[in-house]
Amino acid sequence: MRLLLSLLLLFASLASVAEGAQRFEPTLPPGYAPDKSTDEGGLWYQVERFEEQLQTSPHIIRNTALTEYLEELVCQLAGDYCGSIRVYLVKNPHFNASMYPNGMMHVHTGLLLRVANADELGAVLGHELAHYLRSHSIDQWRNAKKSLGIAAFIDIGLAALHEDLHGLARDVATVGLMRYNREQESEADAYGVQIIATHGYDPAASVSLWKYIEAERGADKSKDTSSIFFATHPKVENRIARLKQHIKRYGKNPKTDETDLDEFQNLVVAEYEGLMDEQIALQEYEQTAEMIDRHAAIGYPDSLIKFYRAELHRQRKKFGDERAAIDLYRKAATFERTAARSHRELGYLYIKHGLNDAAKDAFESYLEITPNADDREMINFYLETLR
Amino acid sequence: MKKISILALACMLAACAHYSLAPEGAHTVQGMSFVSTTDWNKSSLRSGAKSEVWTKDGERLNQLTFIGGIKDGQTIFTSRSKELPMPEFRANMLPNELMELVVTSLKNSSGGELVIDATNLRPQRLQGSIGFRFDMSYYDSNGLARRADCIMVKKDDRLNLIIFSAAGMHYYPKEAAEVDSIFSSLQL
Amino acid sequence: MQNVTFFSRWTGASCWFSTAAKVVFLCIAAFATGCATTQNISQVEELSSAGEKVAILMMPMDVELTEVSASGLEEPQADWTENAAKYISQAIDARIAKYGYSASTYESRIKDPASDTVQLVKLHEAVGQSILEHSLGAEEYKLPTKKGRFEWTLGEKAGLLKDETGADYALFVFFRDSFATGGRIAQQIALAILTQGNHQVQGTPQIGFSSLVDLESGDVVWFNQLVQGVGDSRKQSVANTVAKNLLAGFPAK
Repeated sequence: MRLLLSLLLLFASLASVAEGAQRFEPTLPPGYAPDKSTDEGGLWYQVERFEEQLQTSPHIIRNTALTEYLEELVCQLAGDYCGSIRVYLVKNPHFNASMYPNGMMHVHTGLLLRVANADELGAVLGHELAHYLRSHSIDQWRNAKKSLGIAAFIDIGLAALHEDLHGLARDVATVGLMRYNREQESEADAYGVQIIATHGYDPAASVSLWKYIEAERGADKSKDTSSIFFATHPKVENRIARLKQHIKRYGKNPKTDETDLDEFQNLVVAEYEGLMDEQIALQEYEQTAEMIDRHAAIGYPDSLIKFYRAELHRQRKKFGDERAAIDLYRKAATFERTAARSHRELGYLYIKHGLNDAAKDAFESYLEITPNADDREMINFYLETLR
Repeated sequence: MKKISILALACMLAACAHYSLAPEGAHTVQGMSFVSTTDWNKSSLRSGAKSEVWTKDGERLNQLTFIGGIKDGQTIFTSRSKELPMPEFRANMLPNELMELVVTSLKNSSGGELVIDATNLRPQRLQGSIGFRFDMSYYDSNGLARRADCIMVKKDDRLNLIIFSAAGMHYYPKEAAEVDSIFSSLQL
Repeated sequence: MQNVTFFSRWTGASCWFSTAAKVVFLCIAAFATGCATTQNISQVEELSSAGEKVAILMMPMDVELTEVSASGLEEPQADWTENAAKYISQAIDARIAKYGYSASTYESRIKDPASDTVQLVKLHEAVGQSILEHSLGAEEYKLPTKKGRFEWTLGEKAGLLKDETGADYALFVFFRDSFATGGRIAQQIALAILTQGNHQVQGTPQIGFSSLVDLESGDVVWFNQLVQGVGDSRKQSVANTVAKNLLAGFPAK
């Protein structure tokens, strides 16, 4: 049912050779809705209720420039099916997007930090749309019903939004029921490439995205479960190899100026702190470092890169991290956008190192920039005691 | 036979809290001494080895959680997930880090799903020590807006804290003055 | 001493366990006898209004019907639910009219999760579950400070609904035929027990609760919990019985 871009999918060897040359067509007409008395009608009903709940959910980001952009991009890629698709931006720092049978699409905020540009975003959205256009949900639902011999529950509620947050355990629990099978994923990959290529986006974006995702997962040194999983199921390279074959058929679309940020990148930069604070809170330091490296390569502003590298060091708290954080905060403090927070963190770090005069200066700079900061009482307390 | 197994299971599942009266007046909970001006219900549930939970109207609506004597290297709540380890308390932590410690611990205790807005970090003068206090607001997984007030005191390199959390509507403001008075009376 | 995770207490999700266990008991009892069990508390003998007639606002009903297949897979049934919701709602309207009160349905287009109207509904969910646990639950779950009094409220913000609609009271209804999405833990446990114990679910249990809130004070003035096994709520005749049971003990002349 959900979880499309999961690395947990096994892409072993089942590629059908014919598929590469196939041109995909939707299996449902625009504006499709099932009969209410059918099993599909029941599934839709449940999903629609979920969507109703979602509309008053605090976990959704509404009416921002980013959501408008997403809606437009999805609409463009969906073409005749634009009216059937509704996209929701879900506050969730993990890499995911999902498609529901009634045309509800979820995009996680974590996706926005991981796609490098509009092309890569398009690749994910194209893949999701392909699931919809090929009616994968209902097929999967029927298969699950046929094959399940044990008690199983469809549990669509707001909690489902977070189901894949810490993936593995819950994925195993819902195996078979909530996920597209590998043939469907494979088809969605191929159809997704077709969709973005025919809309002027770079079809190779799907490969560059997966390569990055693989690098990010590979950077994970700290957590046993996912690295073991990664070691036993490293089939992203197969996925990449097969995507490359699909891409060959379309050639390259002309790219806009590589050095300037595209509209999507600018929107991400505008929301960067909010997105990145949630990413940092995951405490996945190695992966986040990999992510910031990529952002630096994309050309995201130096202020943000320096500041979040500093945040990573400060919060990781390993040997040498505080020193590194101080150096980076000092650089970030020279930029208007990151000055206030950098000065404040410098103040605290200097106190820890017994550099009281420097701490005082830093706190004073912080309050100079943000005299109404909500923690001004705390800062003033230190300014008094540091005298 | 069937009925017996159902009965047995149902009994095991009756894992709810039970309550005893915590009357108004002086208390010492997890090493923290304070004075309450109204009666509370002490719950049998706890969030970790060094904790105690009080409530007025049931934990869904409001709860006062006491956590005392956390040593360097220990976590505020019991770690349950390798994927989302609980951050450890360090004796040299400054108030900004203590606030982050509490926020991350709460977030991770919910599987990482809470988006907690922490504000108004400030010192609070107590008898014989300085505490640090801040506010939180967030939505629980059902979409109910909740607010929380947290006070943290370090004593002999150990962290002690009290968190009051409640539904933002009615149940938080209802107890705000009582909670403020409990926090202000805190002594270690 | 019980050791639970902080979060479940924090959001209050966990104590469905006790409710689940209790509901299972009640269900078994209901199946055994084929009749309904209701438990209700009323703070008032009759309702009052400053206007001519007591006006009751029907909040959007939270109703869902699901089919439990032999394999244990629950299937949502769109047409059943729509019919049941319609029938139950009509039957409740008719009963309220019979009591001499006027009923209107609340429709809000406000989607903002921070809005008072959305939060009132969320708060009612939490208060309703607290009532099930601490007022109607087992003796040991009772709160000593309440001293047996039924004191539950949504608070002064409930007045916003009065301002908006002019109603005197708001009626909230939650109903599930078989164990569906609300109270997920409860369903899972209950279904696991039922399927393991019986291999196949015999009929479908029905659970629900309804509460009446005074929009002047925000206080819950009447609350009713229902567990029954009366049959197929897709049928109008059964829906009438469901409505009757959901309103058991409703304060009326």
